[in-house]
Amino acid sequence: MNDLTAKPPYEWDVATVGDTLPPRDTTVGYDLVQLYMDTSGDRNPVFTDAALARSCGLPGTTVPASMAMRVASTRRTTIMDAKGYSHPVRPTPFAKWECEFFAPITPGDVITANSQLDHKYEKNGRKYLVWKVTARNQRGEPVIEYRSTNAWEGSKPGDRSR
Amino acid sequence: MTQKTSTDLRDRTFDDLVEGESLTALHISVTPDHINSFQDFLGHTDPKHSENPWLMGNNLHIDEDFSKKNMYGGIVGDGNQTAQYLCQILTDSLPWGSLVSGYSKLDIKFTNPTRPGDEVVVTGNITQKYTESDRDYVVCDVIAKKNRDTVIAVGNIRAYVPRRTSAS
Repeated sequence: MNDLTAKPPYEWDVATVGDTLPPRDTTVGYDLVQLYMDTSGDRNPVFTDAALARSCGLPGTTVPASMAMRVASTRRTTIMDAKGYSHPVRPTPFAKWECEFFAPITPGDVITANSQLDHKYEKNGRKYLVWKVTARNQRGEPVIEYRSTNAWEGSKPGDRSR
Repeated sequence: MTQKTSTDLRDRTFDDLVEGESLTALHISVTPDHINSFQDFLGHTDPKHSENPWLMGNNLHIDEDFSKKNMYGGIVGDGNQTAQYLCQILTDSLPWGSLVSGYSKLDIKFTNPTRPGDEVVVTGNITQKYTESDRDYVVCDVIAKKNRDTVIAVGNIRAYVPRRTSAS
């Protein structure tokens, strides 16, 4: 078990817009596509049938939109650790996802992603953090940019019955 | 080449799509296994490789004791999994390669969690189709509800619809 008390939790007051990390490379392995299909039940042939994918103008099989979360994650726990804080040990519900795909992603691509805290705001008694991720492929082409919003503080009694 | 039936909606072209048409609804029976397994895809279950070591034993989507003590009072599905439902409804109905060939855009709000036992239905429709810079696009409104009337997510997705270069 990790020592979850070694660093203070990254609470709203210490979260600073611009908190970030150096970029990280992740290879899009076909094993991740297979894992996606196995765990989601989505077996779209464009993930496995190269001839079908090429007929759509792709260089080969492609990956699901959900792959953005896996190969270009927010890395927020690592951002907090680098700043000397730990991720709070409580749910931080996913509230909003705005994502743009600029180019196709195919297995074998190496995705270089930058992550940072982009924005923080309060609404209806809850506090939210917005993480921004931008990613390029091995040719330096932009492939993904997204903003992922988490409810950081402000759980309510009614949440237990939602 | 994958064998497909002649009635597969994905064999259509951009020209076949109609503004106002409904996407084929997606039905999901949410189970603990269904919720847990998507955590494998997200990389949240392998302590050696997880970016979130604090999640081990404290995962809202897997660990019942932790979940019961926290805001939802029990295990809930991951919002990332709900986003997957909203994407799949497009890729199940639109021409091959739509949404997953780049040049697409999603805007999704998550309004309620899924829970084991929920019956989720995702619906959507094409609100707009257009061509810009020689690329074809459709815009779809999508919504996911659980147990008939509780909205769990609502979104707007612009999907690039690639042109087929050969019959499959």
